[in-house]
Amino acid sequence: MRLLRVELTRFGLRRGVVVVLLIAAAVTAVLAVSAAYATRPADDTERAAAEQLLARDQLLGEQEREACLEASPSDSACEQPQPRLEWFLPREPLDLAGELDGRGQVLVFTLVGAAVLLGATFTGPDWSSGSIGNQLLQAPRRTTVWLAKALAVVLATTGAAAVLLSLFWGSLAVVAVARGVPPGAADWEVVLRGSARGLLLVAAAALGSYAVTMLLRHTVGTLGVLLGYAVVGEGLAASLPFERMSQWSLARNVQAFLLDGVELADRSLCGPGERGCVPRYDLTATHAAAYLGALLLLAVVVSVASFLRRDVP
Amino acid sequence: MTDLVIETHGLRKEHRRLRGGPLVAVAGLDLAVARGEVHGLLGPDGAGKTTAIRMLLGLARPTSGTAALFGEPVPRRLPRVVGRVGGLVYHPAFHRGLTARQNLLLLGRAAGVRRSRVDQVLEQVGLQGHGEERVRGYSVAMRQRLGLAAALLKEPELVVLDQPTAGLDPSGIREVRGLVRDLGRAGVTVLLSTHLLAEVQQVCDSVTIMSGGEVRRSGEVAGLVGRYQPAGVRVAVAELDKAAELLRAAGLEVTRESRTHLFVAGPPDPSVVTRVLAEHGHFVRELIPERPDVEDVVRRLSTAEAPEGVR
Repeated sequence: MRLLRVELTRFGLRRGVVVVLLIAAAVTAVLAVSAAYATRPADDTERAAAEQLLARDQLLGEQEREACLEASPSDSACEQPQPRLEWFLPREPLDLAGELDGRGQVLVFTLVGAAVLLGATFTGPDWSSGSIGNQLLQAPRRTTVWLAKALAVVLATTGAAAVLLSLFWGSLAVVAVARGVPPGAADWEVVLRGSARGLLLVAAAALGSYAVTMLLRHTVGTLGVLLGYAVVGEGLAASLPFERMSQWSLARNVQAFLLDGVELADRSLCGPGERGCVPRYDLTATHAAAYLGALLLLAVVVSVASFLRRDVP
Repeated sequence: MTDLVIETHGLRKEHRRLRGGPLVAVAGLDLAVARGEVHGLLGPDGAGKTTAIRMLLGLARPTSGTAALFGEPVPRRLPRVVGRVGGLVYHPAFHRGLTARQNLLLLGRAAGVRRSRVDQVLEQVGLQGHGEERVRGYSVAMRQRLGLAAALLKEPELVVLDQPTAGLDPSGIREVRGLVRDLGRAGVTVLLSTHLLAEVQQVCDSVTIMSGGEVRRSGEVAGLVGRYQPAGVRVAVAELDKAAELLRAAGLEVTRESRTHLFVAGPPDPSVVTRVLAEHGHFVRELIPERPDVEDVVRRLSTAEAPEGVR
C-alpha cells in the first residue's frame, strides 16, 4: 500500500504524464464541442427552407397517392408515410447512443493511445535515468515493486480516462437536455456499456504498455515496437492470403471488443467464381477479449520474469 | 565470535558475451566486514568493485558464491535487512525532472522514513538550500551528494558507498571523507569502494585490494597500505642535501629522488615545505604534487610477500 502511494505520487509528478493527460483532455473537449456543434438545432432560415421542402413533398406525395388510388383503388401500397419536418432539416439531433459509434469511438481510441503513452512514459524514465536502482535499494522486493507500479499506472490511467469519458458524455447529456431532447434510459445503457468496455481497453493498454516498457527498459523502445507492429503486423494481417487473417489484427480486435463484435470482409473466404458466397465473417467480442487477454498475459508474464531475473543497472 | 555485517564466499559474477566466452567481472570474492568497521574496497577501474557492491545490494545476481548482510543471505533475504542498509552505487541516478527533495521524499516514503529526515540528510551532505532545485540542473558533484543523502535516509547500520567522492572538488572530497569518518565513529559499518589509496588510508580500518576481478590482498590498512604515502611533493632546490636536512629537522619524511629533486612524503600542506626552506635562504625552483598510482600499488602488493597479519 505504501509503495502504491509512492508510485501514484511518482505518476502525478512526471511531466510527460501531465502533458499526455492534458492532450487527452483537449481532444475530449474538441470532440464534445464538435458533437454539440454538428448536431446544433436548425436556425430560422434552415427551418424555413425545410418547411418549404416539406410542403412540396407533402404535395407531391398527395398527388402520387391520388394517382395510385385511381389505378388500383384497393392497393394498400398507395398509402405512404407522411413526411416529417426532421427529414428536411440539415442535421440530425443529438443522439447519445448514436455518438458512441462515432465520436465516442474516436474518444475511446484516443484514450487507449494515451494509455499506451502513459504506461511507457511512466516507467521509461525509471530505466533511462537509472533511478530504478535507487528505488530497489529502498524496496528490494522486485515482484512487489513491479506490481505497485503496474497498479499505479492502471488505476491512475483508468481513473483519468473515466473522468474524461464522464465529462464527454455528461456535457453531451447537458446539451441534449438544454435542447429539449433528454437521453432516455436506453441511451444511457448503451453509453455506459460502451464506456465500460472502453475503460477495460484503457486499463489493458496501460498495463500492456507498462509491461513491455519494463521488459525493454526504454520508453522509445516500447513505442518503436508498437510502431513496428502497426506497420508490419497490421500489414501482414491485412495482406497474407490466409483465411480470416484479420482476426489476429490488434486494431480489429480492439474494435470488436469495443463495439461488441464487428463484421469483417475477407476475400479469401470465397473461392474463384464461387456463387452465393459472402466474403464476410463476424469477429466477436468474446474472441477479441480472449485474444487481447492472452497477449496481455504473455506481456505481463515475460515482463515480470525478466524484471525478477535480470540485473538492474 | 566476530559479529560480521558483510560476509561473502567465492562471490563470482560473469557477464555472458556473444563471442569470446564469459567476461569475469568478479572472480571469487571472499569478504568479511565486522560490525563498526570501516572497510575499503580498493582497486583500479575495472577491478570489479562496483559489480561486487551491486551484488551485495541485490542489483546484480551472482553467478556463483554466497553473500550475506547481517547474516541474511542476499539477494534472497535482502528485504529482511534492507531497512538497516544504505547504499550509494557509482554515479547515483535520480529522476531529473523532479527536485532533490521530491526524489528523496519518494525514496523515503518507499522505505517508511519520516519526512523530516529528508531535511536532515540534505543538510548532512551540504545540499540545504538546493532541495527545491530540479536534479536536471545539478552538477555531478551535487548528484553525488544527493546519492549520499539517499544512502543515509534510513539511518542505516551499514552504509555501502561506491566511489562516493567521484566528481567532487577537493573541499567536497574532504567533507565526504569527514562524513565517512563520522559514520565510523558513530558505530556505523561502512564498506567504501574507491580507487584512491589516500581515501583508504584516511578513513578505513581495513582494506581489500582488488584487481582484474580478483582479491589481491586483504588486511588492516596500517599493515597493508600504510607504508604507501598518500601523497607527497617533488621539490627542486639548489642544495639538495642541505634542503633535505632542514626538512627532516622540521619533522618531514624526505628522500632524495634524483640529482635535482627531493621527494617529501605526505606533508599536510605543501606550503610547509616552501616556508621551512625559505626561512633558511633556500628557494624552491619547482614544487610538484605527487599521488601514488593505485595500479602501481596493486601491482607491487600482488608481487610482494604479504606482510604479517595480512590475509
